Amino acid sequence: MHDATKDPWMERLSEYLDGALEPSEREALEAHLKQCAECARALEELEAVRARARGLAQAPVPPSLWPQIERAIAESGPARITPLGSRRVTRSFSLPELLAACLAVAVLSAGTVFAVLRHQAPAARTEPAATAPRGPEPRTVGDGTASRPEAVPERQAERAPSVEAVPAARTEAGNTLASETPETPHEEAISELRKALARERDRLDPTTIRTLEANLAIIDLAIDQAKRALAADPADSYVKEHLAETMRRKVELLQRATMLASTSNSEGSR
Amino acid sequence: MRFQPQASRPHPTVRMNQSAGGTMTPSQDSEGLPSRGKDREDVALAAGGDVRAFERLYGAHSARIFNLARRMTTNESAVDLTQDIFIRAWQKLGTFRGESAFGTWLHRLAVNVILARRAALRTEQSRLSDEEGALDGVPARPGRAELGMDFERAVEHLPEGAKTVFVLYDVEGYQHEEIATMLGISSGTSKAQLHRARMILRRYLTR
Repeated sequence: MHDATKDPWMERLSEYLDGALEPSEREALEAHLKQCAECARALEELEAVRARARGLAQAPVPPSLWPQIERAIAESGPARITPLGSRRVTRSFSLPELLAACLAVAVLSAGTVFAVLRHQAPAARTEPAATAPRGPEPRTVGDGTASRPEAVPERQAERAPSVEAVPAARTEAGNTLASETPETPHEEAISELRKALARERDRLDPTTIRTLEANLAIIDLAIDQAKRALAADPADSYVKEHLAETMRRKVELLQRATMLASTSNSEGSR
Repeated sequence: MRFQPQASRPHPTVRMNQSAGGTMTPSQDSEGLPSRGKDREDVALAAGGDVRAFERLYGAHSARIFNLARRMTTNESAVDLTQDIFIRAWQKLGTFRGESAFGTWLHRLAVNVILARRAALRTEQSRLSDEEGALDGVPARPGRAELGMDFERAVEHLPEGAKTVFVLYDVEGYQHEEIATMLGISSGTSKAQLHRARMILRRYLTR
């Protein structure tokens, strides 16, 4: 077998095959192919692989699948219309990337929003959420709908009234779908924050709004994907712990942003 | 020279315009206008709660989604994933704006769901981490009748990164730029993984 590492052109054959080489590179490779039987043979084989891939047949879908889907959607209710403002970025993250992003973005978001809003409302003081002792991990509630949990963490007890407790994670795989619909407490919290900010919009810098919107969308996506990951593997304590922490940070961000926006408004109206 | 590098990709499932470079909608032209129009009607009906309309959408697109899931994970996972993807699609129909074909939207949703699930399960990471031995479990060159099926098995045994890019590029017709965005890697890494996969698979075809 030819050792591909000895011939740098060997590594460019797929690009050549796909028409991705620059004209000068293509000409040089074609000249090389006339002299290198190994590369020419490899090119033939790569072409065969590509052709085989493109000709792969579709396996039939198990007939039992649709009835299962039909039952599930009957239980989940009709499709819901999502407001344009909450549309999400479709980028997908690897799990480590996701977990790191959750924490990093949550911290940055909180810091950015806090700093910008504070700049707009220098007299505002919003210490309660930051100084409150950390309560127990927020709990998953029933089927993921907006029921109030029995025990609300202390830091959440001081939140803006509309911000509900956020579930730390789904505890049953069967909750996967229900808990990802827009009416979950988590989504509800975002919705409430958006409403609050919409009310204050005229008084806030557009840059502040955009920053908050963008960061919330990113956090929301990250949490959503983490929840999916956890739904697939509910026993993964590593994911669960990070998800819970990320959600706590998000609640904190929501509390601070809502409170600061409200304070900024009242300061401005004096 | 027997080979002509391709400037366009006449693809069985997704038609890409390679010369355009970097377009983000792999199958935007893969559905004829009548099909797109029918899908659009059914999406509108399904978004209003019409399950039969959604069943028609399922009938039109389930094979492609199921096979995507099967190739990117395993046969065992594909059924569950396909179910999950269509249920999510049902729940998210309200977010579909009709800016692309429904099939494109659904396919992208499917890829995201599959990648998230696979990351969670960490499927095949240890099993497929050995590139050199990746095809050791696959029988030697099969008879013609078994060729397609065993090529599928060879793909299944690729290292995960190479398999993902191979399926998305060579089978599904995504561009490297799109794959890079979806996987959070560079376009160059996507190209390198594709070449890696093809080089491994060619050994299967030639042994």
